[in-house]
Amino acid sequence: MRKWRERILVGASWVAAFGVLAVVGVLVVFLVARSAHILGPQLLFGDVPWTRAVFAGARVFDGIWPAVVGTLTLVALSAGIAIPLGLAAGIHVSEYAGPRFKASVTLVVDVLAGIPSIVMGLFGFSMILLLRRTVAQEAKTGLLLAAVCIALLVLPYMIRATQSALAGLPMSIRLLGPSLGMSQTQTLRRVLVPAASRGILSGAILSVGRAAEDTAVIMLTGAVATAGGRGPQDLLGKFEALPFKIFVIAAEHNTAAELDQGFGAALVLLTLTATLFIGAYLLQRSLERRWNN
Amino acid sequence: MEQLITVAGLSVWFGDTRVLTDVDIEFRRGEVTALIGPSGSGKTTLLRSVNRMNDLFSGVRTEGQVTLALGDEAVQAYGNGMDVALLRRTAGMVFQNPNVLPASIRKNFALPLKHVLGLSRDEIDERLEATLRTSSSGMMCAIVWATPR
Repeated sequence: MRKWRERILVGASWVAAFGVLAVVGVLVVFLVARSAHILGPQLLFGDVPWTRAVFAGARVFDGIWPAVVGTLTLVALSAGIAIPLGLAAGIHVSEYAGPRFKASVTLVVDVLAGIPSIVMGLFGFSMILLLRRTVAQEAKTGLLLAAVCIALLVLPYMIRATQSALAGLPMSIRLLGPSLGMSQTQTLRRVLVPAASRGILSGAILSVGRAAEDTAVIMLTGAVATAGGRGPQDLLGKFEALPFKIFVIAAEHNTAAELDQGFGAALVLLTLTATLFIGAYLLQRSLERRWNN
Repeated sequence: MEQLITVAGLSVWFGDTRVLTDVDIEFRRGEVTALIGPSGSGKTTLLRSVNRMNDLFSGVRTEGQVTLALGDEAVQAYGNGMDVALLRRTAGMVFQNPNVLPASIRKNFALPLKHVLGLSRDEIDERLEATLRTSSSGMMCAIVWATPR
C-alpha cells in the first residue's frame, strides 16, 4: 500500500514537472506557428533597412522596433531604480532594522506586493493629475513616470529576495567577517552580500521579467500605440512598448495579417525576456567566477 | 608565567538563559589550557567572550570583566570605548568547524589581508609565500593548489 502511494506521488510529480514544460512548449509552438511566415527583419523594421532604423534613427511605422527599444529602455530605467533601492532596503531590513521596524516594513512590503498593477498605473496617473493641479501644470504621462511606477511594482520582489537571501545565511558565515576583525560594513560588502548573491540575483531577474511584461501600469502612464515610429526620445515623452503593442493589436486589429504581427510581437517579447534571463544567468556565473579568483 | 587573558566574574545570558555564571579563569602566555565539559556547558561561549563574538548573537547580555594583555597594555574587552573590530583582529579565534568561504583557498587567505589590513597584492603574495614556507605539508598542499599557475 505504502509502495503504491509512493509510486503515485512520484508519478504525480513527474506529470507536474512535464506539465510545466508542455504548457511552455505548446505556447511557444503556437506563437511560432502563428507568426512563422512573418518572422524576419520585416516584422521588426517594416520596409526600412535595419541599419538605418538601428543606427540612423529612421522612423519605423510598420514594424515593432520602436516598441522593442521602448521596452528595453523601460526595463533598464525601472531596474536602475528598483534594484539599488530594493537591495538597500532588503539589506537594511535584514541587517540593521530592529524587530518592530522589521515587522512593519515586512507588512508594508507584503501590501505593496499585493497591489494589482492596474492600481499602480492609476496611482501614477493620479500623481500626474495632482502635479498638474499644483506645481507643474505642464506635467504629462511619459517614460520616466512609467519607469517609476514599474519600479514600485517590482520593488517588493527585490526587497524580499535580498532580505530572505541574507536571512538564510548560516550563523557561521555571519561570524566569519567579525572574527577576522572586519567592520559591519566590510562584513556585509565582502562576505554576506557575495554569499547571498545567488538569491539576490534571482530577485533581480524576477523584477526585470516583471518589468518587461507588465501592461496595465504602462497603458496608464505613458505608453502609446505609435510614438512617431521611433524609440523613446526623451525621459518625459510618450513611448511604445511591446506588451502594450500586443494589447492594442489584439484589441483593434482589422486583418488577420495584423493579428499575426501581434503574435510575432508576443514571440519577440518572449525572446527578449528569455535573453534578459540568460544575460542575468551569465552575469551571475561571471560574478561567481570573480568571487572565486 | 605572564597572564595573557584574565576573566573575572563573567556571566553571559542568551535571552533568559544564563549560560555562564560568575566565571573566574586565567590563561597564561605559552601555556596550553584545555576546557572540558559536556555539550552546551558554555565552553564556546567563554571563548567567544574573549573577543566579544557573543555580541553578534541577538539577545546576549554580558557582565563581568575580560582583561587581555596586548603588547605592554592591559585591555578591557568590555571596557568603554573599546574598538571591537581591532580587538577581534588582535585576539584571533579558530573555529571548531572551519568557516571557509565558498571561494578558493587563496581568496580565503587574501580577503582579510586585503580588506582588513589593506595590504597590496605583492604584500599578500609575500605573506602567502612566507606561510607556505613555514607550514606543514598538508597546509602547503592546500595553498599550492589554490595558487594560480
